Amino acid sequence: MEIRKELHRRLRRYAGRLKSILPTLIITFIILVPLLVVTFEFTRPPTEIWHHFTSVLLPGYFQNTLLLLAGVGAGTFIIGTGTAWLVSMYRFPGRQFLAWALVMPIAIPAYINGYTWAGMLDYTSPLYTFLRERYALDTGAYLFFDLLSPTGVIIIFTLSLYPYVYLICRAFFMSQSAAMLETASSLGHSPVRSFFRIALPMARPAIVAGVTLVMMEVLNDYGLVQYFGVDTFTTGIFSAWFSFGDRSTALRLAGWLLVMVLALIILERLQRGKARFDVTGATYRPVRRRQPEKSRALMMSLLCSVPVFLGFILPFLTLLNWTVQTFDGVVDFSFVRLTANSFLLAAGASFTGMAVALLILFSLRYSGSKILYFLSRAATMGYALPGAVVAIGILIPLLAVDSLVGNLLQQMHQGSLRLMISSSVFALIYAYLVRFMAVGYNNLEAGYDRISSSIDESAASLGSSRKRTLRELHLPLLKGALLGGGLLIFVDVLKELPLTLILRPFNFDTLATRAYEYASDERVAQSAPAALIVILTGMIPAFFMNMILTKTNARL
Amino acid sequence: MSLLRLHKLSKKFPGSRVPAVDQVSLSLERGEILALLGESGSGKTTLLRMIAGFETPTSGEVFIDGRLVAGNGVFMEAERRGIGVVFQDYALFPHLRVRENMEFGLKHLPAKERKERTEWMMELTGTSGMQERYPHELSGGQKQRIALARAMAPGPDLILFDEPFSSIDSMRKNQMRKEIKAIINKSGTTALFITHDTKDAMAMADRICMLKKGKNIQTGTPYQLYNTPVNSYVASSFGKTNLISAEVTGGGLKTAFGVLPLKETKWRAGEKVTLSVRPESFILESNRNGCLCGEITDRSFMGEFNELVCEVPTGNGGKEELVVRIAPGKSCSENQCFIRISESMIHVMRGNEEEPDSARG
Amino acid sequence: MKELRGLKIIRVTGLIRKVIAALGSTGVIRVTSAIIIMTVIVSCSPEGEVVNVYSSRHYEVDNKLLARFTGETGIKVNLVGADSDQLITRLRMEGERTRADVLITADASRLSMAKELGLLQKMESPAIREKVPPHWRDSDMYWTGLTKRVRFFVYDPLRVNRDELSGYEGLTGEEWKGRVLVRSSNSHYNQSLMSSIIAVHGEEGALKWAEGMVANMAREPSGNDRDQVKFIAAGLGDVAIINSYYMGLLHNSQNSEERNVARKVEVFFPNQSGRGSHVNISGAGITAAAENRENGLKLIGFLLSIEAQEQIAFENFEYPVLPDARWPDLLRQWGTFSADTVSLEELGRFREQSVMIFNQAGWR
Repeated sequence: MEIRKELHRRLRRYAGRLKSILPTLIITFIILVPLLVVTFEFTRPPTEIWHHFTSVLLPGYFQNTLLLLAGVGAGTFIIGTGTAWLVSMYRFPGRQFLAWALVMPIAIPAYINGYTWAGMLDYTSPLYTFLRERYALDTGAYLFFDLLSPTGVIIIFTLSLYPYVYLICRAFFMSQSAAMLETASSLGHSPVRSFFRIALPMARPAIVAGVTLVMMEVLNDYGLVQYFGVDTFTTGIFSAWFSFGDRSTALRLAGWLLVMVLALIILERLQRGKARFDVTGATYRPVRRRQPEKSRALMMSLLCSVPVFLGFILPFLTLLNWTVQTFDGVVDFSFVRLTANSFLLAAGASFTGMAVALLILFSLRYSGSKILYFLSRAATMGYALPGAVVAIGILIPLLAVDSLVGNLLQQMHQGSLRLMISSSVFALIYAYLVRFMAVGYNNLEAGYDRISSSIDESAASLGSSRKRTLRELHLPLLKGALLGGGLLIFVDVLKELPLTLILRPFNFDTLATRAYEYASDERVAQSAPAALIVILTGMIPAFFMNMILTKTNARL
Repeated sequence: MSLLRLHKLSKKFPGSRVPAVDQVSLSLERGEILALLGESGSGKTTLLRMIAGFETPTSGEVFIDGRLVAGNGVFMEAERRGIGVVFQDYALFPHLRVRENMEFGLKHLPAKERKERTEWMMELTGTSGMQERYPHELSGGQKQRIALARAMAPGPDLILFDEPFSSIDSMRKNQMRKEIKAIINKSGTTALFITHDTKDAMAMADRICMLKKGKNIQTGTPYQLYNTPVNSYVASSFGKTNLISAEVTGGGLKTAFGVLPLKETKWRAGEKVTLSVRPESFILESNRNGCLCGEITDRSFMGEFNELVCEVPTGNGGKEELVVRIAPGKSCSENQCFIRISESMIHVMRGNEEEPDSARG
Repeated sequence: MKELRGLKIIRVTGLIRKVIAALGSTGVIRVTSAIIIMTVIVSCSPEGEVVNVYSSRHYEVDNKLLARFTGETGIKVNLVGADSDQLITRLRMEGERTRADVLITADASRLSMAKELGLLQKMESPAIREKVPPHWRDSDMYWTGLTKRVRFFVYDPLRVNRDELSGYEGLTGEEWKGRVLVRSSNSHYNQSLMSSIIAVHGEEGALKWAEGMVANMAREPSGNDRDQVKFIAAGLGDVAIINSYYMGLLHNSQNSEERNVARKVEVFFPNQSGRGSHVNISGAGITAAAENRENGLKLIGFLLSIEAQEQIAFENFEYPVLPDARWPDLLRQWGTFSADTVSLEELGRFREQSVMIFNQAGWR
């Protein structure tokens, strides 16, 4: 009797707790749907085309994908850590500017960088025309190497993605205690030696985190590899789905891609272990930058300028030049609408993304629910899903909902109702939510970590309801994190390509899809205005990241 | 009726084998100041959080003003309990001005009353004129007073303090204690605070509740805890003391230093007990007659007294150290002294079932 | 009809609101539901006459033509532009509730495939049947060609003797080792070409041909058709298989260097002494579930008007499907040619095999 009463009580308490997080659970689950769709496909027997894929195509995909991962990983590692070390440890002409500028290539999406470079090194480009006319060199784009090749893809990826490694390493080198390196030099280590013996091993978790991020971007890319004609897992998904019309094989490939991404994440976690990134404590003293002799200092300036020049300045100027050339033909009223479309869409997605992230984190903060924690962790996996996979994962359930609603209405009325949700802006925003919520989520989570729980408790003891605490305390205190996360989602959506290509509704183009269309229609110059706007917007968070870095440094 | 009553309150965190708070019963009267004293891990913070409503008890009940607020299937959320809390880190809302912080708990009042109340509280806590400042523009002491004023502003019956003095430097601690005690007394509220510092507890509290490993081991006035501790842990927590094992015999207490008289009658012969003898309970004599003869191994001048560490030979041929405090005027020879235990100052406790963690506090 | 729709919307909105009310009252859910309702309203809001088009043609001239169509008929054209495979996949997934009325692709085999998948419907239009020669439309009138593009050769006249060239099969000969340029097998144009080869030589013959081609390639296939011409100009290869209209675009590029490149090479229509050059079409059909069928037919009729046909020919250098439409000077210079007699419908049948054969032959 007692036991039953107790059990009943517990059940009721549990139900009460569950009810308070129910809306959050539902929303989190909705975000998880595409992931579940992919997982579900594994339980079904493979199709004939899957066998064609595994026997004929998959080895090539694997080889290419691994080649790109290795090449880009190595490239971004060398450039990222190298420049971060020079900028943090030495004084050389232009150091301050370069420390800033080295982040800038992050603003140019890899695919835009790719076709800009392809355009620059085209046979008919001004560069080669000049070389031909001046020096009668007549091998065109292929004077140095063939850009439209795996090597070319690796180079473009490296130029576009090294800032991830650079940023994270620079933050690390700046925060590490001088004492460590001074001890090294007192023990007779040269700076170069301490770089390899002390700084690199210490920075390993930071480097691995950065390189992992880079590799995820590589796995995700469709625009660049498609344009450069290098078949990877992701293009394979496209080909299975579209060329063969075989959704099952596409999902299966997506599942394997997901396994690869998971492996990357787990590897990163494993090796990070208990290592901590931040070196805090009273003993902290910033590193005194060394003054190398003049010739070496100039050499350092040069070394650090190369990635900035190739990864940002040159493509940027080229796009600027193309924009001026094609301005009249391309920039008209429809272009304004295109820009408005993109910005509204990005704003909608970042608003929704941050709202959902806030809801989840707020519920987690109060409920401490294990289920919710697990689900929310899983929901942030969407960032690792390639856009095309998210698109399939979303279309399948949305079409089902659509036809359900349609049937329902059909029973109420004669006549047929057309698809509403699955070919609407809503579907796009849903997809962006799945894909990019994690970006805002991580930012907001860090923001929430900084609000001590005593703030909430103190508000509660002053009679404040949870809603009021959220409104009057959390929201103002999280303003920075919300804006920052929102901005990151905003820029990501602006850059996003494959998802938007597949899901966009009628008459709906974004800057990214327009730029891509022009580029794939062999009119690279015309793609420049749209590309330029994407890049200029992408520079805003790059500026912020720089500011945060320098501010942290100043405070330290 | 007690303002706050805890009945067999327990809290066991999932994944932990021992309860953080173990069957604590306690009551607090209106206007009283109670200290929850214990070292870290004693469960005092968990107890405070259960009273405030930030933690749900595993079993037991919390009554406020006779009303059940937690336990037995009932749980009243913190925001409805009307208990003020002053946090260790003050938890001032960093984006709000001092005035806005103060008014945060007064949303139900009309603007005019809000303003009056805020001003009154600031006057009471001596923080007038800081209304328009932001928390980061305040000193540690000012922050604490604002946090206290903010907690008191809605007029709670009970205010909880989480380690109120732990982040105040020792030079200012005394003054802060006095001020806060005065403020609490003036406002007539009831207060409960947790601390790990016996001095805080003695200086501030009307009563002290000593916690160890989640258990309430003794509750009483500071005088009671100092003079009649229930065990050696409590005894050594409140200042230095000499713990001497003894056995009750027919005529007295048999110790290594000989037989001492026993006045209390509740002890049965043959029982093992521990004696707590405070350093000031010794009388310095000029000759050896009936005295313990100690060899001075260390002496330190502490201002109001001299503290000696004496090695005293025991009956079985060994030696044991005793800490002795004597008035600074009294002197003794270079390395020997004759001391006698003032019989009225011997406190007898139950035997050594609990090993004191640090015998000499 | 439109009123009825409005009524439906009100019902839907009410229904959704009720569902949401049942779900819970959290602010976020409310906001989300508001967004959904708004989307529904926006996507259902009654418009004037419309036609919804899925098109894989993404040329400037198309935009001009569609705008002119709207101007002349008052029918608004809603467009989704994407790769034809993506559009077909989307049509398949959307099924009978799709909002698309017209499917336009730049590849005949994609149209045949759409027909086979039941995504298109028969066009009851005597006008189209009359205007378009039978070879350039579906025999059951499920789709019709709009323009033609020849998959022909361009070559460097300094390194290639015109007499050496014969047909697609000729390029597999020993003498072409390291001289042939062609883009990757992802290109639909190559897939359709392969289908025509399969139709003539069977799967085994086609595989042999593909292997022979791969053996003779000057370089791994990369870039687009225009790039192949540039490769010749750069001296990386001697002969390339490209679509005719790209040559037209190169000749008329704004970039003077591109015009130079175009002048360096000459064109050759393969298999003239045999079955004729492989000619692909871009074409259109009405979707099986089309809601605005009449408007769709109007649009297709418009695109098949002499004016529209000539505009496409003069601006995009595709061959009109109407026999009496005029050609621009450039196409006239290239001269007439005979086209492969393999029916376009057949191309769709071998689509999947063509991709597999490419993969087996290692044609990237």
